[in-house]
Amino acid sequence: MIPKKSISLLLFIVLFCISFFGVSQNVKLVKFDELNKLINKNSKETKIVHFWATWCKPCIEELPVITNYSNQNSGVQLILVSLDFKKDLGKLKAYLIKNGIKSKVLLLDEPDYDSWIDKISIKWSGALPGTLLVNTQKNKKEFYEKSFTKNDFEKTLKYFN
Amino acid sequence: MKNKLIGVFGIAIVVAIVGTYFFKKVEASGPVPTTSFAVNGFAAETELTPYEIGDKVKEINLKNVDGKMLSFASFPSAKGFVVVFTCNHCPFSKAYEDRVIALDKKYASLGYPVLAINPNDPEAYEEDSFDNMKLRASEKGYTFPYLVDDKQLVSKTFGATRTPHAFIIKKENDGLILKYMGAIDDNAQDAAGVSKRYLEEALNNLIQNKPVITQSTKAIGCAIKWID
Repeated sequence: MIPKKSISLLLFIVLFCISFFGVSQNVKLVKFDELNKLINKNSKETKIVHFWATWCKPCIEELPVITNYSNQNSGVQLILVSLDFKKDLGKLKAYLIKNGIKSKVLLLDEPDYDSWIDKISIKWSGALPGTLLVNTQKNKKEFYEKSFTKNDFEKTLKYFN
Repeated sequence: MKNKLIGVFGIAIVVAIVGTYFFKKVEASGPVPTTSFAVNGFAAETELTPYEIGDKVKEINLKNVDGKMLSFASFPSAKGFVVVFTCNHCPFSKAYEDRVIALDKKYASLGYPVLAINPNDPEAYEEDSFDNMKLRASEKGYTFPYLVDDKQLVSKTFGATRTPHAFIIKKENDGLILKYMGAIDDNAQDAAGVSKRYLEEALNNLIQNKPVITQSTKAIGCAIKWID
């Protein structure tokens, strides 16, 4: 008879591994071209492309507003783009697990920032957080260099759509 | 009657010619700095239009970590300045810190010292408090001033939006002119992986009295926390 304690421990380890690897599947290292393709891909849903980083305090404070909205609204697709340093991939994964973030997260591995910031939006100075709203059906894009409150974000999405 | 008409017509032509000459002269003298009326401590944030390349930069008067107030005029022998908006807490600022120190070591003696300015609201970032600024400057042996922009007006007139955010200004006959604004180089994460040294290239050109080729670049950084 295998002791109950061992089974629980084994179960715990198995579940931990599943959840760890399950969430870490959601962080993908991408180059700008891949991100750009994803942004411009035709889709029925409005895309929320949100630029943030774990080291950015206002980003961390605001992130629940973005994730909650996308969880509660079916007509949107949330793409979280982290600007964490490539060497901090582990830190990013740990943050996502700790905060139960299951949305798709891309780590943008393109250190020459000047080469792509304008391609996201001419209006963006590069400061985080930043949010790009994309509606491919209406051929509309709008960039917001600011932190959103819950009401502010809802209003903005309503107005954009 | 006829003479009167010719006279009026003649005056009109002269006025038109003279007017066009002056109009063209004003046009040719470049963009008029739009901040001159605004920066007096009472301007609302929305009234400040940040500097553009070629604009004349206003004098500043900010407190250094040694307690003394400093201005551009405090450096009479400087040919210009490398103004870097930076702070203690931001990982990007930290990543660039050694490079900023190296820039001052190289370019101060060539006439372009670094002036580091902390634009952040210390209520938001305790790490960016004046006491912590003093500590950092002393720990890392800063050879340049580390000034605090407590009212954030200098940051706004320069149009700084993030840390680090660098600006090069050069002394010319009519004042300090903005020559470059933006990123320090093209790789925040890896100093060894840099290929475009924007600040150095601009400074080298200015020192040789050549024009700056890449005048403006963008970079990711920590947004400046504005006082509400």
